[in-house]
Amino acid sequence: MERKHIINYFIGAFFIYIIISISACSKKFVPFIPTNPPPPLYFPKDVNVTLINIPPLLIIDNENISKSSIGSQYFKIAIPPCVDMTGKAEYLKNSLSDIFYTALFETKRFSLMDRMEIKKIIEVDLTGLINDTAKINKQIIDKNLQIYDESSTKAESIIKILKNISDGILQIYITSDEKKPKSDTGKVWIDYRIVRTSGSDNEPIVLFAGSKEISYNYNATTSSLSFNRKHINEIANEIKEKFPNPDIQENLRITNKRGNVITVNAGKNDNIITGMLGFVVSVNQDLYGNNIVSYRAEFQVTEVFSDTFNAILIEKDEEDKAIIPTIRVDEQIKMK
Amino acid sequence: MRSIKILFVICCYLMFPKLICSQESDIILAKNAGEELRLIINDISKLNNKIGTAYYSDISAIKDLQDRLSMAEKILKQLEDVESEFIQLSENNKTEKDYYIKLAYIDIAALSIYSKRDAFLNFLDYSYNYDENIYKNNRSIYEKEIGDWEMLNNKHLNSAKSRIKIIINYDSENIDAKIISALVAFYEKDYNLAINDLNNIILELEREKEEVTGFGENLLIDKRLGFLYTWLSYIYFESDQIILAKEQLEQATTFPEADKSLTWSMETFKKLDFIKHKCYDIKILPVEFPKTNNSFDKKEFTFDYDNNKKSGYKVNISPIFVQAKPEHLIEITKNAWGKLLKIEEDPWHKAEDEIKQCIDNHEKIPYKNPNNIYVLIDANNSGFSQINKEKYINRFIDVFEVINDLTYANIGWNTLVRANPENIFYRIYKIKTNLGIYYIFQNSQSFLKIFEYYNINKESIPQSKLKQLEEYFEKDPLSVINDDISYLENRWPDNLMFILTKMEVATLTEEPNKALSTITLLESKISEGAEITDTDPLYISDIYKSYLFFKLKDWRNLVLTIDKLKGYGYSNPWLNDVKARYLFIDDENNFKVK
Repeated sequence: MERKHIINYFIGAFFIYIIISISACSKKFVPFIPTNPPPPLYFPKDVNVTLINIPPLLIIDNENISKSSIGSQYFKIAIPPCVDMTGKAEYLKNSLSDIFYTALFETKRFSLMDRMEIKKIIEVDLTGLINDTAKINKQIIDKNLQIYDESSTKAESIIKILKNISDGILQIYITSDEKKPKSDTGKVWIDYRIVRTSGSDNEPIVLFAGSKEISYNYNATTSSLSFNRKHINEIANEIKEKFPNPDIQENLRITNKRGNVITVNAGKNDNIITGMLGFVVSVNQDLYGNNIVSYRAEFQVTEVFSDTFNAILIEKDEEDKAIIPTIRVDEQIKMK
Repeated sequence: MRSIKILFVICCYLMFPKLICSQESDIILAKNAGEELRLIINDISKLNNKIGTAYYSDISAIKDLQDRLSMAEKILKQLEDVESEFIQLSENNKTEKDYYIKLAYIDIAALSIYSKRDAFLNFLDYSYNYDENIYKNNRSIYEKEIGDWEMLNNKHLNSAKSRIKIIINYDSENIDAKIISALVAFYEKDYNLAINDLNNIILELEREKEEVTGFGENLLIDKRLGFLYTWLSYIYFESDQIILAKEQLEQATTFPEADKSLTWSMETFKKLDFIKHKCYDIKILPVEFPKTNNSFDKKEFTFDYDNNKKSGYKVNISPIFVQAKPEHLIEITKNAWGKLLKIEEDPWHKAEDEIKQCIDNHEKIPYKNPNNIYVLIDANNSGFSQINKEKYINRFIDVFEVINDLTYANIGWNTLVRANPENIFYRIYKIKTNLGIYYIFQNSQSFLKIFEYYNINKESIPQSKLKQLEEYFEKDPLSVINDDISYLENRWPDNLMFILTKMEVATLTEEPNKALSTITLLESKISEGAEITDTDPLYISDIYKSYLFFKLKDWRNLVLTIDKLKGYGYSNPWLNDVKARYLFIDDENNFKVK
């Protein structure tokens, strides 16, 4: 048994030796293999950007641009000398128009073209003027007054001038003159009408017409002439009453706008007549609370209904072109 | 007399139209100038369209940025011209507040450029001559420009404020004055005030909208509301509150009347969608270049020779300036990592063919040819042969160089990060250098062990000298890496570039199982269809996973991941390596690996 043990011991020792030898050998020559080299890193080239742009600013058109200049806030009437249809009342015609001027002025409803201005225009030899200045000023004159037309008569030329510098012409025609013989008193029948002369289509529109007998006194010796002022004042007041109220009224507003055409909440009942003029206005207050009225655009009535009218915004110049698009519904209007 | 009359009439004719024209021209001039201002503002909104890269990697010689600057300068000149037109108009019409409103908007338009002076001008500063350690002449140009722009920025801020005062004098409730005032607060970086003011204006307008019935007025209110929401959204973007910014953007799109603002909102929505999928950023942070350079002690390991036999070694230290120049640092970082990978893959690669052949022939491991393979140095094996020892020494010298490069780059990136703490790009590169240093630290024994067996002149290297060498390998930057990760986590948790970096860090610093769960968690944050520089980010994460499966000896998942990687269709040497290694471990019992 002991021998067996010894043999077993040797056999065991031999195997252990073999195992140790093998393991020693394998340890000796283990190849070094870094099995786990690190993975490649991700190297970004740069930061890609999609930049948020700056939002646009909202630049709103000035909603309250106003015309830098309007001819007149009231309907401007030119009163040329009367036209004597009888052929015998030449001595009356100048005075009669002067008296009308005064009467209308006193109504405080209208703006009147200066008589002296009219007289000067009449007195100036227009043909001569144009000939003298044609080369240098023709363009300006043509553009603003369009006065020269070789085919027109002097009277027509005057009318053309007045058309451009007034809103309407009060034309007075003496249709009969009854003066009692050997007496200073007399009566003239006159027809009068206000013609809107500067419409967009250049067609004359009669805004008002009437006729009346006016008595007068004329002393041929002293050349003194006086008309019955009462009669003329009646005509002036009648004209005033036929025109709509020119004051700013809070309730008068644009109810619709299509391009250059506006609709306003006033009509026949407010004395509105086709051809009449008005303004789109803006009313602001200054630091002291006073109302400041700005005139934004002018319009001419094109169609009138009982409670409304349509009007076209007048686009005369670049200024109007800039302002008209900014006009909006609900803006206030005022009649001229 | 007649001639006097004629003269009088001529004068009347000539003066009358002239008077009208001079008054008329102000309105026409204002209209034209207003149109011009709108066009300029439209151009300002296009200023950023061409920029597709932040250029953090190389700001010099950037045409896009130069083009943008030229365009901005042109716009600023145009704004100056329009401003002088409106100044003239306001002088001619002192009571017209609208001209002051336009002037204040011009200030705001100019501020939108001047306030971003860093983004517009920074590239001018990038003309530093690193070799000579001096700034070229451009430095003074840049400093002058940035100084001028800052002055003009302040001028427009003050001028906007004074113009608001004038408008308020005329109209204390003027809405434009309120809007401009809020925008001034924004340009003064008081975001809370700006947001608060704009919200108040919105509330006011919404109340007004309920009261008015006129179609025209409602239209204008809606236009303004759309415009205000776009600005609110933009301010939220600028203050990095992206979720709130998106909410405002949605609001802005509900106002079709605000045509230009609506277009902006729709475009911005599209951009956000694109950004989400393509890992694009929405802002370029101005790059601040360090004004001074750090120096770095470059260490060079060399042997002394006596009759062509190694008689000793030394580490030469030479101080050099660190060029904090991104393109330079990127190159060094990438090269250092490339070297490190090569070092770590090298013995395996060289042995590959021979080992494979042995496997095929059921032969023993090819230890007989030490030219092709390292033999593991351990207590029982002094290195097998001199050639094997030389290989270990070269491996050490190579990695010593890598430490130098990584440390150098790390100092450079750190300088840039300190100057630009919010810049994700520089911080990510800083992390990568630290990650390399960390890897070497973790595996230092495999690099240093050779010295335990290496004798010079038949004498062992003294322990004290070895200790000196070990010091270079003992830098553990893990806490710095974690600090940087935490910083980025707080700032840009969803940034794809950051997510990938975080995966990288987990792969190399965490236990494999933990790293795998971290990666899986991070993968869930990557939205479907996302791309990063034309690469599927999941491909990158699968590479990291394959590494971890290899480390875990999880062959089944490794095979699955390799198949998945092949499916992406990208050509990548790493994939070949993994495949080859997979072949190598096909019969793992044949090998004993370290």
